[in-house]
Amino acid sequence: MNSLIEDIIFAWRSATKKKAISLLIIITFAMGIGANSAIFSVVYNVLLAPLPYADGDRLVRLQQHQPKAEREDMGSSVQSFFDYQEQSSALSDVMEYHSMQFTLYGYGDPVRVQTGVVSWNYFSILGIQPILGRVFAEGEDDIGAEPLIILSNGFWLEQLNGDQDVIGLSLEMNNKVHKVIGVLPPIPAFPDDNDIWVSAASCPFRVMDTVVNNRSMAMVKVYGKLKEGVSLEEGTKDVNNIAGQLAAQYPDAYPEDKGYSANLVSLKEEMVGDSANTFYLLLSIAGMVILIASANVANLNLARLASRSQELAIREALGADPRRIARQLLTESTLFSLVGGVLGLLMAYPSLDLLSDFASGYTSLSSEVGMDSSVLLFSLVLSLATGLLSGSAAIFNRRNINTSLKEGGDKVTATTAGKRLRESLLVVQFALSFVILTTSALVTVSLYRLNTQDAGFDADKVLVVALDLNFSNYRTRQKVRTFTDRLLEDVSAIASVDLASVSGTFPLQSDLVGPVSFETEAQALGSDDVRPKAVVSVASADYHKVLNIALQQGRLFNNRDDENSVKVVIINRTMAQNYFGGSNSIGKRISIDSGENWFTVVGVVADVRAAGLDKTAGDMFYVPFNQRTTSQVRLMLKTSIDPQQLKQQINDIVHKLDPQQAIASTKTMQEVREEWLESPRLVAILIGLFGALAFIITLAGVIGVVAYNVSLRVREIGIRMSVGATPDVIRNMLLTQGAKLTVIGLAIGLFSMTFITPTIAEFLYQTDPYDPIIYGVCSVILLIVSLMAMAAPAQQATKLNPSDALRSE
Amino acid sequence: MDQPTPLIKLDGLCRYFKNDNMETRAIHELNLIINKGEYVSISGPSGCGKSTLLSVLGLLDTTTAGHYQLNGHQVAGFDVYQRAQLRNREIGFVFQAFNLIGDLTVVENVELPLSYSRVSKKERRERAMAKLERVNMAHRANHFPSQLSGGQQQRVAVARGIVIDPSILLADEPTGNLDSTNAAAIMELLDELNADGTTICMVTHDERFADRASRKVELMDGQLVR
Repeated sequence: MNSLIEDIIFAWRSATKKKAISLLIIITFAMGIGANSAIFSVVYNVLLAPLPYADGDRLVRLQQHQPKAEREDMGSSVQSFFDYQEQSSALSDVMEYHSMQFTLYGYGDPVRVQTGVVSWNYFSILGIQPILGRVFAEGEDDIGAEPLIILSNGFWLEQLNGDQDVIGLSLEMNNKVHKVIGVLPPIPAFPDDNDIWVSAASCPFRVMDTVVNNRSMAMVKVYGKLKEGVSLEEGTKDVNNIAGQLAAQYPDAYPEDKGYSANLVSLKEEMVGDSANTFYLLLSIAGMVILIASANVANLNLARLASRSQELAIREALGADPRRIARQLLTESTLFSLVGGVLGLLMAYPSLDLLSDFASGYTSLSSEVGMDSSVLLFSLVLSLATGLLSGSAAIFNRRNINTSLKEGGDKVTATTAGKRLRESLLVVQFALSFVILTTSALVTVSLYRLNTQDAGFDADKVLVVALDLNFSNYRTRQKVRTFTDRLLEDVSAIASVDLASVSGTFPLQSDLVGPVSFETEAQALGSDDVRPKAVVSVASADYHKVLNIALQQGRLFNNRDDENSVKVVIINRTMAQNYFGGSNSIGKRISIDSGENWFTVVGVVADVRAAGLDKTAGDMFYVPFNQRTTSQVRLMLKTSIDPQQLKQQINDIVHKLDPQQAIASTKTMQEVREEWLESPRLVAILIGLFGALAFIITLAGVIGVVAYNVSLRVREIGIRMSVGATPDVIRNMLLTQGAKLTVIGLAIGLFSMTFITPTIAEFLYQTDPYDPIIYGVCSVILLIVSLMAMAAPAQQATKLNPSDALRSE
Repeated sequence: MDQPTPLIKLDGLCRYFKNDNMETRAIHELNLIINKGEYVSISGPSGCGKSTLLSVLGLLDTTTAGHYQLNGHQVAGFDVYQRAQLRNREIGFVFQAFNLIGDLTVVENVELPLSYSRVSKKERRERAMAKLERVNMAHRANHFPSQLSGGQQQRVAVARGIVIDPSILLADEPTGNLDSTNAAAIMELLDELNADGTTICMVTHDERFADRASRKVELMDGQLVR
């Protein structure tokens, strides 16, 4: 123990003696460990940590499918939920969930609330304890039970200012007074980011007899908890058996031609979604950064060791145990890495909010991102590992004691010990830097292409106001139409509004309708035939003009397309080509209810990337708003001024028309587009940051190592000068040697990319993962910048006085 | 008898160093002529300016004042590039510490001066091997310096010094790091080279070796005393 303390004291003295190189090592470790700790905090809390619920590893979601109708994860009916609850032998608890948008009154302005509707046992099964009040009790989801509300933590803080006396507060929703009974702790928003929670008894749809007793009405999601010792596979077998029995028992509800099956997926998998690949890619890149940092520090350690080889040889000659010397070297390296680790954590901490925001684009578990004990342990282990790894290079490269002592006697030029290893480590750094730089460039180019992708519509000066009409007040189509007609009339009267329309959805919105099954008249499908599917959008006259979606054939909707006129549709170009030969679509008819009603095609419009900028348009058709009204109203305005300036005016118009109507959101289409781009942009920014970090560390390493190599080669340079080498020759020699290492590193990096590109390809949009221009530009940048980094020490070498150089030790 | 031809002519040569406002006169008002084919030894006590003089003669260092003429060139105003080229063409060095490059083989070390002039690779190798044979080290051509004894390393250093057929070979304490047997062998080699026509200027503090030169020059406080 005493000797270890002595080692630490000596290491500290040694570090303070060479402050510049020590600081460089510590900062290098800090950047590498900081970056990894930050990304690990996301990876661990989202992907690896147990769910923050009781028995989180046993929580599952039940999925139902109609495989023969190609209908997957179709939801469950209330009756089938009851069936699984009663019959499952694999699940200890079964709970139901669905989410609705309602309008809440009684506390300030009417507010549109995302409402989670659950069975009474939902919170107790998840083991969630409220911070105020209580959760639902048994029987409180029975039809006719008292309407109760549990507030989410965020809603309570933002809308009710964290009011501690909120329990017992009466709020009005769906024409009923609801009593607040609890406030939830800050938990991951799952399955949806709900503002409030009510029991199944409070949902006006869920209590309808046509919903409760209709097995075809699959409106709820079913969750459960596996019994202890039951595997996911066993659970799936159990629920699938029940599905089989139900299909046999209720053939009308589960027709044989569509098939009927069920399975379980772990709640963890459900919550993580497809985010794992993104996070693991970032962790891999962060891992490369720490490898670069380790190689860099190993190189600096080798350089330090080279200058100390005679000192260490003398120690050994005087009787020091080689193991003790090895331990001394490792202690020094580990001390640096631990200090760097602490500094890295301090650097990583402020980035957690940014990373949490980034992760929220993928999973609600982002709320769990934080610097907990697991992350601290990871950082400690990483610090120790990198310290030992970078220190061990110096140990394995220690020279023969006799050689070191002899070299101290000036027999040849200064030691070349470790030169090969130092150069190899530099090559590794170049290779990894190339990989990160190229990945970063590919993702950035991909983002640029997404950013400049023509989506088929013009987002400029378009305002979208989302209104979810209160179900209780707008029960009939006529009421909805009266409201939207007056709304359009009033907003059109604003001088700066050029065009106004209403629709059910708009491009790049997540809640597009469909795809719905349809058939054309020409297809004449039988009742058992599988029908093609298309996305459907409900839109009023001028919708296509507001978004400047080009008309290619026929006409757009007008105000005469209402419930009293012929049912019409506008189809997109892809659908026209796929089903009507492209040029002959007008007058053709389609049906979405197996031929009961037919819609006549009156127009063909350009394709719009409705589901995402990265997704080419599939088959899509538009139905006139007044022929298929919806309470999900999206008011869309084309303005002649900055649409932001109209927000308050529109708000006033809506509240004048209906003081109780909440506005869900008001955004410009540019904002919608920017929001959609946020996730790919953040991925590009993070990878870009890692690229910059790797680049900085590598360049710092290059400068340090080349400068150190020059200092070790002073006498050699003196000899070369003494036999006639000019300064240019010396500079070129050093630069050529450096360039050779860079080129070897680039070659290895290029080879490594062949293994990495398949993973990267899935993150790229219209970008060839082997794009020769990107690879070429990255190679040239790395080569030029590395040569620039080498230029300073090389230039310094040319200024050496040969006479002094020959006398140098 | 032919009139001796001056190879090196120093006229009032000075080399001063300034440190912390203190001026050290390493060489002061020195006049010296070395003729072609001569074997001159420079001796004197430590710190008398021997090595500084050799550095100035070898164009490794510049002068503070005075004139230095080497084989007809007034070198005082030469820049670093001109000095390097002249050094590469006219001067060979042998150092006390051998100063071989550890990463290069014996033959590569000998080739080094030729690599800085426009000599083809083939010719470089031929000339280097010839000089290695001249110093009886051809059999070690592909060894590295660390694999050789001190005496062998100094032979290689001599071969490197003469590979360009220099106008003058400057030897700075060439036996300083050698035992007596190897030292004697190196001195014999220098005698032979001089006998073959090579002009040699050797710095030594060993009187026995200084006596072997055709002319002895003694330095004291940066000035010639004999």
